[in-house]
Amino acid sequence: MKPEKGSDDPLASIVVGLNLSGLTMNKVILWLIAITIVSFVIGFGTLALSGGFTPGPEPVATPFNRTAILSPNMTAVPLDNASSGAIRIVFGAGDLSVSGGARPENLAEATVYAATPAMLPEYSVSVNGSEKVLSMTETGHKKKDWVFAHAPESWDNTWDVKLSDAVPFAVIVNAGAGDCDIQLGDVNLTSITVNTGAGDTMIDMSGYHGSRFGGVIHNGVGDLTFRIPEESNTRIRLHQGVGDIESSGLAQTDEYYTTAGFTAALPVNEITITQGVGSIELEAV
Amino acid sequence: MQQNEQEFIRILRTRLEGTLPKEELDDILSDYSEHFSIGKANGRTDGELWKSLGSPEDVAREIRVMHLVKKAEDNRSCKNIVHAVVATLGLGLFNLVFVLVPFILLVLMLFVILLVGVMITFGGITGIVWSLLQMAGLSAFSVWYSPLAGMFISIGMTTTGLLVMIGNYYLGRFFYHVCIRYLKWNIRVITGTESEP
Repeated sequence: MKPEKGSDDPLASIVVGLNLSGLTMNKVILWLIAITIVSFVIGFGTLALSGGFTPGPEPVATPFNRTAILSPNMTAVPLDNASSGAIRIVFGAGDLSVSGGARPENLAEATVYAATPAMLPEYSVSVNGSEKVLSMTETGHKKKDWVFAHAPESWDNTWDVKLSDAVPFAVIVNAGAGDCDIQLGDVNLTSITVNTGAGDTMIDMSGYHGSRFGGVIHNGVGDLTFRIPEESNTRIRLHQGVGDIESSGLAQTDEYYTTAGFTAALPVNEITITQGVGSIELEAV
Repeated sequence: MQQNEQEFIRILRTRLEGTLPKEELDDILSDYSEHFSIGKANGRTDGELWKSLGSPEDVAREIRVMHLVKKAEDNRSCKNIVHAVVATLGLGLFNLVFVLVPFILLVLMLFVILLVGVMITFGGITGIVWSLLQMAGLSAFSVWYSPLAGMFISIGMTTTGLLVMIGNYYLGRFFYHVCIRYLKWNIRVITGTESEP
C-alpha cells in the first residue's frame, strides 16, 4: 500500500486530489480509526453510566411467561364529584381501544392485557378545579436495553379504556406503533387530540349527540379513518401530506370538508387534521 | 494447408490482430520470420520448423494470454483482469477449475465484504438520523435507550463501515496482485515457458 502522493493508488489519489492541506490516505485511515474508537468509547461509556447495561427488573416476553402476564389488569378511576374529565393516553405498541360505557360511578375504566409488565401503563390522577384528569403512560421505554428490540410477540398489548358518558370529556391520545380504535359516539366531548405514529387509527364519532367539540389530529405513517355523524355541524380542515385522501358524505371546498347542511352560524365541531404519510378516509354516516 | 513460413505468419497475424498493438505484433511476427530464416539457412525445412514451433493457433493463444496478463499487470482494472482470466481459460479446460472457480470465489468474497461495509455504514447513518429524531422527540419509536449514546455508537458504526470498505479496497488490490502471479505461474506450468511476449 502506497497511499501517498504520487502513488498509483486511485483511492489515495482521490484523497490527495481533494486538496485538503496535508491530507493523505494514511491520515484518513488513522482519523477514521481514531473516530471509531473514541465514538464507541463515548457511546458505550454513556450507556454504562446511564444504566443501559444494567438488566431491567422486567422479564422479556417468552412463550413461557406470556400467558401468565397476559391476565388482565383492571383499573377504575372513580368520578367522585368531578363535573368534567380529561384523559391523556401515551401508548406505544399494541391495540388501543377507547370508548364510552364506563359505569356511572366511574370517570374511566381501563382493562389492560400486556405481554410484559413493561407494557403496563402508569396511572396518575389529578384534579384541576372540577375537572378530574387521568393519565395513562406506557412504561415500556424505560426498559434497560441499549437498543430496544422488541420481538413482535412482546407487542401483544391491548388497552381497553371506557370513559364516563355522564361528564364532558377532553381526550388526548399519543400513539406510537399501535392501532387505535376510538369510538366516542356515546361520550360528551369538549375536545379530542390524537397523535398517531405507525399504527392504523379509527376515530368513530357516529351517533354523537354531545355538545360542540374541537379536534386536532396528527396522522403519522399509518392510515386514519375519521367518521362523523352526517347530521352534525362539522367542518374539517385537512392539511394534506403524502398519503391518499378519500371522503364520503362530505362537501369539499379547498382544504375544508363539511357535513351536508353545514352552517357556520351554528355551533361548529371544528376538526383540524394534519396528514403524514398514511392515507386518510373521512366519512359522514 | 501448406505448412510453410507464410502460412504460419498469416495465421499468427490473423489470430493476434486486434489484441496486440501493431508494433508489438510486427516485432513478434518478425521474430518468428527470423526463426524460419535461420532454420532454413541451417538446412531445415518449413515443415520441420513448423512442427518444432507447434501449431500457430496454439502459439497465438499463448502469446495472447501472456500479453493480456502483462496488460492486466501494467494497467490494473477489473476489465483487464477479467480479460486475462478469460484468456487463460483458453489454455486448457482444467483452468475452469484451477482459475475460474478460485477467481469467482475471490470476487464473491470481496463483494460480500463490500456489502457488509456498505450495510454497516448505512446502518450507522440511519442510527445517527434516528438518534437526532429521538433527541428532537420526532421519532415514533424510541430505538436507543440513550439517544446520545446511540449517536456516538452510530458514528462509530459509520466509520467502521468506511474502514471495512477501505480495507476491502486494499484487500482487492492485494488479491489482484496475487491473481496476476497465479496466472503467470499457471501459464508457465501449461506452456513450459517463462518468457513474455
